[in-house]
Amino acid sequence: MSNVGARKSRGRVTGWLKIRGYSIEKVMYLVQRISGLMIVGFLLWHLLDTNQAYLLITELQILFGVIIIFHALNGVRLVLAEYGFIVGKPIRAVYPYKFTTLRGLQRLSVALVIVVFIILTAIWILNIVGVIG
Amino acid sequence: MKVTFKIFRFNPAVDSSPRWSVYEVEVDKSATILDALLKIKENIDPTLTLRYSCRQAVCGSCGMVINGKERLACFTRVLELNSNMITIEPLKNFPVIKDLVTDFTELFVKEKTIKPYIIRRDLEEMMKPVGMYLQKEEETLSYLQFAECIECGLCVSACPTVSIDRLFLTPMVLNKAYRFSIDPRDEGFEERLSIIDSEHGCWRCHFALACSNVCPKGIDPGKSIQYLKNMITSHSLLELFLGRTKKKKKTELLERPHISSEPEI
Amino acid sequence: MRESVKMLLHYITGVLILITGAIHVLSGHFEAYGLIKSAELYSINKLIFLASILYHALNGVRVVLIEFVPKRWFTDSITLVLIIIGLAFFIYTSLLIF
Ligand code: SF4
Ligand code: SF4
Ligand code: FES
Repeated sequence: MSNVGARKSRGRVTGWLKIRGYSIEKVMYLVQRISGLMIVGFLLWHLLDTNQAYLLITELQILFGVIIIFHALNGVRLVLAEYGFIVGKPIRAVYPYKFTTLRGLQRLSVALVIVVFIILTAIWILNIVGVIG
Repeated sequence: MKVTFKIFRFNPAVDSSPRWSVYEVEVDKSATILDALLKIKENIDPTLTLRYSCRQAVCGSCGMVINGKERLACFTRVLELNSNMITIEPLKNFPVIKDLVTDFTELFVKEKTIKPYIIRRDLEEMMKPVGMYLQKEEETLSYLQFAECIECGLCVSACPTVSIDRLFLTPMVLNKAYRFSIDPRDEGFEERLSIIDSEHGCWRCHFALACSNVCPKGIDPGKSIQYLKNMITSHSLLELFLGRTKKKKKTELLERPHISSEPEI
Repeated sequence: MRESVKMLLHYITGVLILITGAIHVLSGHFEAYGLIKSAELYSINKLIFLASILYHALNGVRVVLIEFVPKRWFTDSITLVLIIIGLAFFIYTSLLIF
């Protein structure tokens, strides 16, 4: 594989960010990765800055709560998906084609993640703002 | 109906940067993108370069990015896109040879590394067959969907991981690896393991499903890759903790005594 | 270590973070209601949480990095660098806990 990648191809990095034309799973992949990196930054801060003065800033607290909630929920879905538990059985590829990964249990799990995410986010924000809890 | 085509033009030998050509073509209800492109080539601009062969979604040579999504030119009708302005580019993540033609060499080099063929251990049996391996329906179904790949490269162009990691094996190759590893006749899973279970192997797939979104043959590479991960994980766990691996369920041998090993003359 | 084992650990630590993190956050409430009082248990929980989160975070960083820098030498050396960083962090923060 000596000349692999030796010549320039189109669509590097822009292809990574391109969302139009694909389904919601690609958006979730992007958000999962970006939220993960943000959490790493937050973690370093948390471990090194023992005063934890940032905890006093409400907006930061809300932001990190929200991204952690998303990352955790979507992470559980990804574990189930990546070990092949919710992607559907192999079927016959006859026209019109059905993609079991884009429907059924997998799609249901996406919807579930989004719904639970919205509920938990609402609880979190209301809790911080002090309406409940 | 008149439709405008905006087509990517680039000849690396002459041009320093790509340019766009605009053509107007009269199309009818049944015309595919490929028909329209050939019409342009025949009647307006003979320098337009494209690759095609079968015109019926079998050979996998006419993949291109049409209106921002990877599609086969011969398998997409112009009017089904519902737009007066159709943008056509070559596939992403491939070097451009000229205009809409892309270079698949790298991809096929990667494909070769995973040994995309059935591997058998018992040479004796292969040289002197005593019967036949008749597959049951469920045995066939375990790989049939994934065997339909025409190597068009649409999934490779769509995959977000390929776009940043050029060493990633690509969905097409990983789908192939699963198709052969799960085949009840195959015994080569361990031989492929060092490639597909490496840093740039199947674990760099992050289930973005862009590949399943564009596959024109209903393969669903997003599904086969996740099954491949499952297969690899249970294999390496068994090896790690029990020091042995599970015997794969193989197709039963139906003895056919009348098959003689000596060729009849 | 095989990539499959690394990624399995990634997922296991992900789930562990959820469990131990919940205990970590709720420990104040537990103690307030007098449910579980053992400080040692909370320390052990904190250690597991710390180890899991370090592994999960650094492995995540590794995955992102080897995709963005697809060079063989980089892929081969990044693991070692991150293990050293992780161990340093683990020792430093566990000293803070105790
Ligand atoms: S599911 Fe995996 S292989 Fe398919 S496009 Fe997404 S990252 Fe690429
Ligand atoms: S898996 Fe589908 S999209 Fe990918 S190369 Fe094969 S036929 Fe084309
Ligand atoms: S020309 Fe063969 S697949 Fe389109």
